[in-house]
Amino acid sequence: MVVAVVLILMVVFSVLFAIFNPWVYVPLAADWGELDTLIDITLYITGAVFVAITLFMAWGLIKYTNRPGHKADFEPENKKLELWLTIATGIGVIALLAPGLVIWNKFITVPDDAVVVEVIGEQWTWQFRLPGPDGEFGDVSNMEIYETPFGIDEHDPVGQDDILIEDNELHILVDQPVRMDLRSVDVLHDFYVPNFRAKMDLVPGTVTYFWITPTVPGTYEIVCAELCGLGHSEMRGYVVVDTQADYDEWLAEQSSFAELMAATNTDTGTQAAQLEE
Amino acid sequence: MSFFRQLRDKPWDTDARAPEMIHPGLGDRGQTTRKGLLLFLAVVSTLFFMITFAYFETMAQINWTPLQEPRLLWLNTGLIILSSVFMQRASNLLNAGGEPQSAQRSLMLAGFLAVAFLVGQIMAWRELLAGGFFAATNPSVAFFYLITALHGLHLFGGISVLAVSVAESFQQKDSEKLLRTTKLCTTYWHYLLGVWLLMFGFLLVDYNGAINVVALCVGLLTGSP
Amino acid sequence: MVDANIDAHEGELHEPTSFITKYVWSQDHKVIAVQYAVTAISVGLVALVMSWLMRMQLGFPGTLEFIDAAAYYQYVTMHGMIMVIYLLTALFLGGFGNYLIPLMVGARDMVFPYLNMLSYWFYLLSVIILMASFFVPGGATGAGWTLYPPQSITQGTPGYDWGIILMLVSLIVFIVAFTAGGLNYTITVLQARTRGMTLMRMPLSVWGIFTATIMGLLAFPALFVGGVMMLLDRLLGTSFFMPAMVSLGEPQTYNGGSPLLFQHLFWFFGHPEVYIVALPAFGIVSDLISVHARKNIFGYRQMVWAIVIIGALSFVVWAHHMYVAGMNPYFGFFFATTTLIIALPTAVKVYNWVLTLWRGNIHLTVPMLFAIAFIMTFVVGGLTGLFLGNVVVDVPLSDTYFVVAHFHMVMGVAPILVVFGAIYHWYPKITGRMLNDKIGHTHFWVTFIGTYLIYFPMHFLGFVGMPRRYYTFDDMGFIPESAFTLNSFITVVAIFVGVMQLLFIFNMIWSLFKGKVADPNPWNAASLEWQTPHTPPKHGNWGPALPEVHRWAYDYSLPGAKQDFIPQNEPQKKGVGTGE
Repeated sequence: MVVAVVLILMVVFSVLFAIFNPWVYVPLAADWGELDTLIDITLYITGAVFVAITLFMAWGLIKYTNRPGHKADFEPENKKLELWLTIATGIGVIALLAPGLVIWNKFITVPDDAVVVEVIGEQWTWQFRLPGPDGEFGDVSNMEIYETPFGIDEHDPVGQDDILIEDNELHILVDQPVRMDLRSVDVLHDFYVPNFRAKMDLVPGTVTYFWITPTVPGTYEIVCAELCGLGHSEMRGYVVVDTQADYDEWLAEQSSFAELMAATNTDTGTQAAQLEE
Repeated sequence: MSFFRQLRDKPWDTDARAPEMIHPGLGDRGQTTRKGLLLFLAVVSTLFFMITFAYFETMAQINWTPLQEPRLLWLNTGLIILSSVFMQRASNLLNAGGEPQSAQRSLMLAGFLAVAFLVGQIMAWRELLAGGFFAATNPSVAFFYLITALHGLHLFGGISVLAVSVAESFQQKDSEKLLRTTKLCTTYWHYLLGVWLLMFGFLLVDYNGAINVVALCVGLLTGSP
Repeated sequence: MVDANIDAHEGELHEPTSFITKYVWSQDHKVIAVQYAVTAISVGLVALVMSWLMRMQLGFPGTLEFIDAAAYYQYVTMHGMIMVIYLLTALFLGGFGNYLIPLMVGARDMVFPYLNMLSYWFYLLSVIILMASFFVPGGATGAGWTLYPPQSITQGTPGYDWGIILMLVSLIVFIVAFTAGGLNYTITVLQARTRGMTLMRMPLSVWGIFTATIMGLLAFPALFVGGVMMLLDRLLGTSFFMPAMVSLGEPQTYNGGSPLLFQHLFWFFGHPEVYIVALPAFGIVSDLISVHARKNIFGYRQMVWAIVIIGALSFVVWAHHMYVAGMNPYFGFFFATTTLIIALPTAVKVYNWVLTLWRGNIHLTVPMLFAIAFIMTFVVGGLTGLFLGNVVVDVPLSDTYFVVAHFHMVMGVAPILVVFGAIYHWYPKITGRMLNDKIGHTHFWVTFIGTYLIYFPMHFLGFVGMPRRYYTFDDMGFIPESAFTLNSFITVVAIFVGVMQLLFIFNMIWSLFKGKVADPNPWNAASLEWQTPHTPPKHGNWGPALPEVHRWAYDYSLPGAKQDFIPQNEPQKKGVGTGE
């Protein structure tokens, strides 16, 4: 009897907790609201199932508890009941899976008008690269990342205008679909901005991707979402969603590969000259 | 199949037959050990299947450099085939009701040939090492060492069991036990021969045409760029 | 009549006489079972302490100064690996499997007793090697129980030099042990059932353990291969999993390897592994409910089919652990579908447990309480799996505390509740004494309510986006202060619940000497293990004659019967049951 009452109380607690708890999704800043909706629907359906099964069990515990004169039924199986329960469960499962797969299809299909941004992960910092006016990235090599800025091949003409962002803070334009190309220099990482809902691992040796359309200007935190060593919880950064004017202003301040190479050579040249003296 | 048919029984129904007609009880020892071996071979097969999967998946990566197998491997293959032949001969002799002594020579020959195979494999390794092909040199070399090592370790296990069994057969003349162990070892020998032939075949699949086909298939399957 | 059906092969029925052969180098499945269980629980307690240390860092960061990032990740990794493999797998299969299978099928022992004995000693060796990793330079590995390369073997991760080597070697030894044991459990079920014991007359405990064992035999080789290949990457500089990369500023010599290949191998093992833990729990809890509700398990055939189907399907869902790993995105469609399909047989099992209670004659004994708690917590844990299995819903939730809450509920809470219930249930059989009932009730309530309070709220931290495997949340602006308060609350409850488990340990030891002497069949159970001539059963289990089985394991409350149960080895009588 006590256990049945406790079960009922736990169900009530769980439902109230789910409704009134303060730990809700962070404000949505990208066009992935359907994910929130689907999570909510899943919560309602699974919540209803949880409540139904637990309350039914509690009721059974009260009604059929051992007492003098009470005897159990003998019912080895009931194929029809099993079949109906299976079908009902199947319908519930399809109700979750079908919209899920439709949205997944959208998640993996990058729109044609998406711009591209490269995210580079390295223990334990984020860097970014834009393709520049020519719209293409120059070749990079992991092994050269300390030879030239970002390891870009200095003989590749396409890479000369790549915009390199070294300071951990990426700006993107609001309402502009953007594909994030993800590249790791060392180990597995994962680029996750909770407000965007999307994330994907960075796998060294390959380039992975996901895409979003940011919808709300603001500054959002990046967290690494794949254990990457001691500094995993400190591998942070920011994505700033800008209006056009702000974005142009920021872009103007960034350096291209060519500019950074020139600065390095000048430095080296100055150093060499100083050494000779 | 009968396993799945049994799953449809309604065990709450009364069955008036005598228990031993419904299920006879403890199975015969030979059957038991045989099933045990077959299950173990299923486990070993899964192991080699996983390696094969990893092998082809790695081949689909860009930098695959094929390995030139040491010619010694062909001789070794001959040795392991002969070893299986002698195992089978011993098995046949004992099965036909022969005395342990009649089979001991074949068993010992099979054992020595298997040892010779292992020695030959190690010599093949030394040949590669001398040529500067270390495990870290490139993936095809690494897989060669890995595959031959795992196969060799399994064969070594079998040789140990065989050695103990043969030694015992000199001390006590339990032909029933020797027959059982020999049959199991023979199955195990033929199995490892089969694994070797397959692995050797895969290692030979190095020439470019096959690589391209395989790489295409695996690339489609796993989504490697 | 002396039964001629005695297997005298290799003398395993020769009664051991010395203390060493009876209790140390024993080939008796009952002794080996206890050896496995004691070792597993001991190493599980070590992992429990590590979870307290982790929770201290999460709930009260900086309070224990010796917990730096390296130590934290070492606790995370060792806690996870120990709990999943060295505790749960070893306890359910090596512990319960060894003890129950021969007794439940009417055998004298396992079919390969020498191999069975070796299995335990290899298991113990693997535990020793694993514990040794705390004492080598650099300490234990801190790569997470999933051991993903490249980080697991490169600088920046604790234990990348020595700890990971010992971890991998320990796993390899464990797999050898598991294979030796697994051959026994499987072939004993197939070959050593006594007269009249058909497969469908076996209790569901056996079906769960049997299926889990076969799955393990086919899944562990993938981990073996991944482990060996990673060892070679680490020791010989091969590049099975290692791409061209730098490491903390230094270019490495690796080239051409694929980190994703490891993940496929690992999870091909890893997903079946969680069902290897769950299926024995499913089987055992069915028997607990049935016995203590005096009612046959509802839908026995469907329960068997569900176990087999879940076992088979568990091999085609593995990449749901890799939805955001960067694999071919089209795989998401396939694996989300198979994953949600596996919900169906699992749901059928839940319905059948509840329907067994329905119209039963429920005795709220301690085992029954734990069984009820299992149902409720497994429902929660299983349902949250529907979130994560649905590929696109997994995207925001993966690597957050939602995942941590899910897998703890479904692997750490529910099966552990079954372990407790099972020990309360079979302790009288194993030792001849009852566990103390009052302590049992206290233990139950603290554990049930406590674990629920720990893991239910944790799901919502996942909705917030709080990432997992984080040593610190300093400067993380998007997480509200209340989340950290919740973390502190969870820590306090966790440590309290953890300490209270000592009550259970105390109960097991104290009752060994002071517990009430038990009836041979205190729960009036029908299955065969309760019908041995002695309690605890002696070597050889059945005395001179093996039992004969005349009915299934669930003849409870049969219409027309005198008692509310009929033991499996009691012959059929006219007018009783479903027959004439």
